[in-house]
Amino acid sequence: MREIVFGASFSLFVALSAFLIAAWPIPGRPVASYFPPGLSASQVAMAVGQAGGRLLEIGGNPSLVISLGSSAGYAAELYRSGAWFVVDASFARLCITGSWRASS
Amino acid sequence: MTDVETLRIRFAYVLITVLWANPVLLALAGNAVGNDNATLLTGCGVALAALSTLVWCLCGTHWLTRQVSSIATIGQVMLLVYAFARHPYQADMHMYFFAMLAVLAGWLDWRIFITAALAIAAHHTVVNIIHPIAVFTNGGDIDRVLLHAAIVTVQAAALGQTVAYLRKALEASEDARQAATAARHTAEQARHEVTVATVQAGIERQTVLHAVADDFERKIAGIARDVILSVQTLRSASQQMTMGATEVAERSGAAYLSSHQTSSSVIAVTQATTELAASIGEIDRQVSETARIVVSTTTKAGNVLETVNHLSRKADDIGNIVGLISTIASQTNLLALNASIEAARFGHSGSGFAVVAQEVKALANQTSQATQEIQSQIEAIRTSSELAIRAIDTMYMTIGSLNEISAAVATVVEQQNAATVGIAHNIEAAAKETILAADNIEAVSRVAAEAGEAASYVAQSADRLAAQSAQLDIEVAQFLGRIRAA
Repeated sequence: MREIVFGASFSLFVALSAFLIAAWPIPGRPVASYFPPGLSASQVAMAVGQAGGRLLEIGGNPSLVISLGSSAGYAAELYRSGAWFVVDASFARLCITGSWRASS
Repeated sequence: MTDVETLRIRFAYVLITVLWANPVLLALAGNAVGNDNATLLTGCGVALAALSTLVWCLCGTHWLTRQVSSIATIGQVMLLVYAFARHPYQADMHMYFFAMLAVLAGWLDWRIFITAALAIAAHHTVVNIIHPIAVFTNGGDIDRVLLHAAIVTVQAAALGQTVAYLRKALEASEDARQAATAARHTAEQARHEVTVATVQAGIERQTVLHAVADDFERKIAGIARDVILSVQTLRSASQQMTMGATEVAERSGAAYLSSHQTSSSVIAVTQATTELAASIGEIDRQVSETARIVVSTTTKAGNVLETVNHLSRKADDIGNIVGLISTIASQTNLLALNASIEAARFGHSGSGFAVVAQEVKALANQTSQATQEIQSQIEAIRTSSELAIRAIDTMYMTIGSLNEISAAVATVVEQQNAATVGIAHNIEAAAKETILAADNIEAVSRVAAEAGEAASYVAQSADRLAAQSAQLDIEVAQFLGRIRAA
């Protein structure tokens, strides 16, 4: 039984890892960034600007935005600007869509 | 080591090879498709291969290695599917899940299919919901996910059951083979034990025979040694007895001769003692005669003393007479002198008378001289008488002493006579004892001669016994040789 329990845990870990790898931001393509809650849209836009990116979309919650950066280290710059989580923009499609639907 | 373990060990090399081949495939596919994350995917594939290899090196074919390597393989397939994102072949790459599941059957462990299927299901479900482009080319499709899940489930179940049956069959076959091997080993062991028991029985029989032979030889050898030592002791004792008997015979012969000589000497001593007794009797008689002669001599000495006294008195009488004659001669000389004077007065006429007066005077002088000589002779006689008297007194004393000595000699002679009689008795007894000793010595000599003969017979018996002991030793050695050779 312990073998199955261990295997199930390791399977979830590998699946999650694969998921994270699949959602890894790709330089030159839009990325979704999640900032700390409570920030205003202007603060988030300022942070994206500091990272060297351009703001593409902002959802109903200003903490989640989609931006585009030209530099290879754009994702790292976003983390330095205060982002909590940076993934490929397609990963956040449901969240953006949900928030858009909620906001619309 | 069981067959299952052997197969797993062999399969581990195969799977490790597949795990390291997949990153190469990831790199090739990523570059070919133009995936932007090809390097990251390849790195992750390498990481999964390295993790599996590390666990394999540490734990061998342990269940941990089986689980980790199986899920890592599925993870690499997930990465490969993601590498084909937006590519027309992405859906076809799902076939690689089935291929890898089939490959994992090599572990002969049905549990890995549960976890592998769970990993595939979780991956499809999560990614299909959140990031469908990573799974299917055309995005999320829950029906396809369910279809894939059903296929994976069926395949995993089939593979799991097949693997379980295969493993059971292998284990049964192995058990049967082990049982056959054990039976063969048991039979071989039984045969070996029989052989060993037979050999051991032979060895034990030989050992027992050798032990019996050694014990018999040791005891017989000990007895033989004792017999030889006893025979040697007996021989030396018999030789000593013979020598002793010979010496006793010689000494008894010498003692017999000495005894005879002693008897002769005793007889001679007896005769000498008899002669001594006779001599002592003669001495006694001679002493008695001497005493008698002494008494007679004493009497005669008394007579001589009386004669000498009488002679002394006569000499005194003669002296008185000689004095008278001397007085007469003096008167005569005086008369002659007067005559001469008268003659001178008469002158010449008176010359003749003067000559006569002269002659008378000369005679008176001669008479006076003769009387003086007689007086001196009488004095000499008186002196001799006194000397004779003293000599006789001395002789009396000597005779008294001689009487005392004679009495003592008589006493001693009597004692000697008694002692001589005792000596004679003792010598006679000694003569008898000597004769008895001679008889005994003769008997001892005869017994010694008999003992010498007996000792010689014992020595001969000891020699025969030694020869028989040697023969017995040879017979025992031959007997033991036959026992040990048996």
